[in-house]
Amino acid sequence: MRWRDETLPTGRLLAHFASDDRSRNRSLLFLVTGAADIEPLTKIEEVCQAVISELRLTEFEWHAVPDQGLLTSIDPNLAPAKVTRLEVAELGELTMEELDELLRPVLPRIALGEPELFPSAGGAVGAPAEGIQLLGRERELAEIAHRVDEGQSMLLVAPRRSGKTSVLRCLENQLRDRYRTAYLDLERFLSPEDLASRLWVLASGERIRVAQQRAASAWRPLFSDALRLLAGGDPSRPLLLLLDELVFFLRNLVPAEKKSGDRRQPVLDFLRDLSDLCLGADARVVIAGSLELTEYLEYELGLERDDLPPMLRSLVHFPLPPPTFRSGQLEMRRVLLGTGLVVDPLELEWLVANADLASPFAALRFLDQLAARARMGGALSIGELEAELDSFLSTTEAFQDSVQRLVDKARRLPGAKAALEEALDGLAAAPEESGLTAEAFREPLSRSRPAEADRLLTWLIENFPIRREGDQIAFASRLFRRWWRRQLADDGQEAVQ
Amino acid sequence: MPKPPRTIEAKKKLLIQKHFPWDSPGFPPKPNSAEAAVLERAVEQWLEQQTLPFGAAALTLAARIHPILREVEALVSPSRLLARFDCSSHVKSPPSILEKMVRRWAPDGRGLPAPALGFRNFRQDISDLGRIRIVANFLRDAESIRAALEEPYDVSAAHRLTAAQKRLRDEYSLRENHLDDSINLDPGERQKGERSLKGLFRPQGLHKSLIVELQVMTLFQEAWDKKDHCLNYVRRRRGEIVKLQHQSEIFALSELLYHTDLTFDRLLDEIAYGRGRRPRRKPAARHLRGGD
Repeated sequence: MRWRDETLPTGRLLAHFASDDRSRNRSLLFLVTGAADIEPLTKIEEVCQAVISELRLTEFEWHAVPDQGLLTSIDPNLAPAKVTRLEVAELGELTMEELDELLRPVLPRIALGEPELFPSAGGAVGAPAEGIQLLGRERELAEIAHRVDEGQSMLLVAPRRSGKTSVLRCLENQLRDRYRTAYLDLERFLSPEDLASRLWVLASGERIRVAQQRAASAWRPLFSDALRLLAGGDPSRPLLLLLDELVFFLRNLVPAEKKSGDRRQPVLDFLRDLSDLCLGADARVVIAGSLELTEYLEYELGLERDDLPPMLRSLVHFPLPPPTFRSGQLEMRRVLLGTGLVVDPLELEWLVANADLASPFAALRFLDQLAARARMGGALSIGELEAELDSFLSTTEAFQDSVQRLVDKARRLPGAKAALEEALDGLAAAPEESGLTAEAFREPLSRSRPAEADRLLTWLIENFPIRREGDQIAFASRLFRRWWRRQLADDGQEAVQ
Repeated sequence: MPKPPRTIEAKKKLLIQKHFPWDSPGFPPKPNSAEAAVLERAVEQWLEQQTLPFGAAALTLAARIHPILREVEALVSPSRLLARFDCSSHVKSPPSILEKMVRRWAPDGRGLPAPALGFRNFRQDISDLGRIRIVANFLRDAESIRAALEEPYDVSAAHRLTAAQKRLRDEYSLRENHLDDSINLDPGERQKGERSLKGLFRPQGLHKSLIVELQVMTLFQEAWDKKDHCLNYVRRRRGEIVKLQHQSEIFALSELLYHTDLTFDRLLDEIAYGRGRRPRRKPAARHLRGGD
């Protein structure tokens, strides 16, 4: 594995110039080094031409670039900063079909002048992934959109760091034409007054000071006015509220030191208001968050389903499984292209086998670490990749949230932690591909808490990167499996010492 | 019997109509429309696709030559322009290929006999489907470049090749191991005004059927070539008559620019390298030293 050499002088440029203003341009430069690039470059050109023709894209131009130091001699308007450089060698092993799959989504992005053509590992710092950076969620996005269209409101359930917030942000963008979308990160709001005033600003465009004064005197009417204004009264374009981190907000409503009975009422009041207003405005709601709403309501506040207002009761539980890809290799290649890492076929195979993208946050963090190493110079052998992965797994906090979930769960169900861990240990020890039968995976849970075994099994599947296919259960993320096995080994060593 | 076609355009239509092997293996299906323009467009698209590997071979050859040029530049002209690459026409265009096919074809009205250069053999028989050009500042620069590009193919120079030269030799062969010289041609042998150094390179191994023509010429020679192209070559190619006097004048201008190149070379020698020294006509690439 090595860092891409963007300084190679020679290549083939595919440039898109806006016909009305050639200074608006975006290009892709395929850099070549020697005769080994003849065949891949020919295939690349053939595929791009076919895609351009099929998608009826216009204003594309091909240029030979003998020396990219003289790029502007092609056209003085050509913006070198808007040229994405790839080595042809990066695509050398691909078949025409794979090239088509890889480049087909890229060309329309060039035509639109999009800055990013491929997802990259560099942005994996915890911020929500937007646009092209959101990996493997096409199916879920389509399903959620379909359900929203049917009038459903949903609660997204998934392991932390698995892209719930990113899905909300993508929905906000994708559904903007059909809905009046409003995304609210409720973790930012410390009180209902704060929420009401911000929502009012969002809806009315009024100054925050004025809104804060109104909220301070009475937040409920302001909150209700804001929702009504956001809904807009256009039945053809209903309101879609995308609420992130609702539990954080509910916790902020009343001090934590109060007893659950005392906390219950303000939360219920707020939820009733929210429910009434949303139902009154025919709004759809999609809720997500790193803390699970139903668990919070049930275990922290002792609320039963029947206690909840109608909108909350009607929430459809939508588990967001680990992302899946039609081809793990191709998806990894897209990320490598976006990141600037050049790999040979064996290294690609190693990456897919060890740092697959089913846990995107952790995998991207690892790839970013590799990119930092490669950028410093020199190539990384597979042995060095192994060492890097080992060091990553021993220091990463990317999976700590999962452990925290386990701890939280154990707090609510005393004694469950050992059984849950035993189930996960068993799965980690099982063969990677086949995993365990559901019965074998469930066994520690049935032994420890027979009455709740089914619920715990579902909880594990929904909160860890685990996939269930028929009767077989296995880790969906090889990276997580490896991390868990490493924790097991470390625990074993500590026990020996 | 229909009359034989007279113009290039009429010949092209007849060639496509009678000799393009539609629906054969490796050839496209015949379009539904029998309209000549539709057929010609389909043939041009096919030619474009067929020449893609030649373009790729030309570019990858340029990539291999690029570092050699930088080495020559560092040695002979670190403070001035040595040369620039021109890959703007690195693939012969489909209309040019069609014109080349019909240029020496003298069919009757039925399109017989078949052309010597047709759709099944043009890839082997046209030597400039892929082409790159290096435009040198001075005549002596062109010769330095020539020497640096021929040296990898001189076994006796193997010990002094640079890494870049070795890579060129390992990946591409050069026909007859040298560039043909139409700059320093015996005046009696000169038939046209073009003055350049030309080499035919082929990738080694799998893609050896691809030929790339490399031209090295000076800025003046390139300027002459561009003017000759539109004033003389294209017109004659189309079957138009260019007056003998005009042809003679264009030819004479090539001689004049050659003389200009020689004069600048002498001035370079006298001003930059020491007054009164005779110009060195064959600056060799032997100055290039190094290895892997």
